[in-house]
Amino acid sequence: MNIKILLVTGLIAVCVGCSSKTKMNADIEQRDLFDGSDRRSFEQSAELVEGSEVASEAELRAQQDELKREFEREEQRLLEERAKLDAENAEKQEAMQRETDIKERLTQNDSLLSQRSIFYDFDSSVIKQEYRPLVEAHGNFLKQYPSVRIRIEGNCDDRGSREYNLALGQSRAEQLKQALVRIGARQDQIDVVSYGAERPFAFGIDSDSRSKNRRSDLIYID
Amino acid sequence: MFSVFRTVNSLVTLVCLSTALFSGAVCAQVEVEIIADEGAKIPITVLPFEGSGSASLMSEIISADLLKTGLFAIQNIEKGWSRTKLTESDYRGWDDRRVQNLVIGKFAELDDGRIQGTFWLYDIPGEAMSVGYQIKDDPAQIRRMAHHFADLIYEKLTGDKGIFRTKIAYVIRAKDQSTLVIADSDGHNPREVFSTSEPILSPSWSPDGSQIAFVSFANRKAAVHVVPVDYERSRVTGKPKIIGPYPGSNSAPSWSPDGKSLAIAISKDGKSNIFIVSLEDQTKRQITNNRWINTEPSFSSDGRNIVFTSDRTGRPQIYQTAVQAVSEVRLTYEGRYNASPQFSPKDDFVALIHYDERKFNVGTLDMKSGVVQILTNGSLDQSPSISPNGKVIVYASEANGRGILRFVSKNGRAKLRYVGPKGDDIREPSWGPFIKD
Repeated sequence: MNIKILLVTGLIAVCVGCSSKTKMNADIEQRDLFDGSDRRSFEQSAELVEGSEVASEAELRAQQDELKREFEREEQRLLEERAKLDAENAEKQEAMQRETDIKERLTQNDSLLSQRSIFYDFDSSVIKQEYRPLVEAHGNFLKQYPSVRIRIEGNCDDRGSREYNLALGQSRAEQLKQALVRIGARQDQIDVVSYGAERPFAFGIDSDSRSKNRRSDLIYID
Repeated sequence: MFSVFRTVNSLVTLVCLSTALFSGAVCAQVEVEIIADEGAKIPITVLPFEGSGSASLMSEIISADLLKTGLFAIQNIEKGWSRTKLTESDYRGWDDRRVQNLVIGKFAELDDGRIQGTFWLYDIPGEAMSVGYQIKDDPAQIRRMAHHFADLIYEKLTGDKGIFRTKIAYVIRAKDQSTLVIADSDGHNPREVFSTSEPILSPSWSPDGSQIAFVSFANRKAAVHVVPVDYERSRVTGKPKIIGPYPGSNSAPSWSPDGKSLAIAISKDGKSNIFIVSLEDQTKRQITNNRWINTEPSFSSDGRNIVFTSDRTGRPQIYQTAVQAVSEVRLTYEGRYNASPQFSPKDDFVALIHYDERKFNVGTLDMKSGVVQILTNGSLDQSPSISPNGKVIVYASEANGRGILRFVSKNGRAKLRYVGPKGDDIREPSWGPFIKD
């Protein structure tokens, strides 16, 4: 409270000489005083005022009133600025927390989110019933965190036409994307690519290896 | 369809020649196994060429070329033969030995460093010389010279143009590397064209052999590339450049007969449709327009029609459309999976892959009768490509867990196997055009 009063006087004093330049200086000083750090410049200014007898009393009063109002406006502005900074800080904190949450949820080993592949029947891009919970978990996660981006990579086994498989992989990835969008993910959160039969996960030619290669992978992008 | 007993007529293992002569050569051991059934064949006797050095190689290559077609029976004459040009009095002697078609030749290394080959084909019962031909060439072209002679013999005796000087492009796949290779159609002289850490698929020769279109990946999206090559010398002459790219996944290039545009499949927003893109100004024109998979276009030789694969019924089948006015007709009904169609040079049949009884096989669809004939008996036969004379189909197959190329004659009577260097995984063959004489 004392500081405030001091400030008012100080401001008036400084601005008696009245130029926009001094006002700018005052702003800076005000900020310093607000923090209770450096009062020297103010005291010096006050001394200066005492030493000058330029304006009449009425003029001086009017000026003082005007300066007071100006100061109040400044004060309001500063308070708002601080509130904004606080909010920004809180947001940053929140974002950091969100990042941590995202990381934590994505690195949990036993969660549905840790499952990033779904597998298909031969020549099919239909998402099997058993993968509904997995798809829902990823869809809800993307909905909750719109900043998260993923890439879906569609793959096929080595049987049949390579070019047809390239298109089939695309269809698998695209259908999975649309399932996630229906749950609430945004279109622009998801990029789809197909490697067809060109990037097998398992290199065997037995039916087990092949079933592993008929898949879509969800890849979270850092 | 095939006789149960197939005889292995010959097993030829040859090491690639003079790799040091060519930069970018892939030193490969080529193994060609000839498997052919017994059918009516044209008897022919090819005498060892007269001369020094590589003279015997000439006749060996000619014999191997003819034998591999499955159309010829090579008769060996043990002794008592003459290697000089026949005179009228000689015919009777050869007739007595039951020789019908006789090839005699000469080979010489000339003073100017070139090689010279000469050959004559005789019709013994007709007592006439059918072909006589001489070539002078660079010593590095010795195989090409022999293939040229074989082409002339083949054409004279079958009425079809020979394919022994043509080239085949294919992809060698290693764990983290794909390499596009050009080789002679008998597997010799393989040369590296382009190598990348991304997969390569669907190489396709331009009609004049001066370019190869293929699919590889850029920024995780399939993109159509075109690379200029010197067909006769199996050499790359420039860097691959991407056509477009058009938004989405771009793949399955097929050249228009005039070489000025490509039919490609563009996959975007969950649908894959066929477009014709101009190589001159990159403009594109949509051919199919539906929400299904439409891919693997192949132009007819007159450029009027395109055959392609579509899963619009839920399963891949083959369709045909006119290029100018879209009029889509389904061509295959037999089997749950027909794909990879390619028009034959005369547009009289379409090569395809057909899935039945848990096996993928290569077959032909007759364009008149609509009958599908299965020609192979592997379990994972893919990517058929037809020779420019329409007589042979090369395709990707498997042996001991790695990719190999196999050849089957259009009539199904001759089969060949082409195995690359040990450990090589070969795939995606594409047969190049005729050499212009």
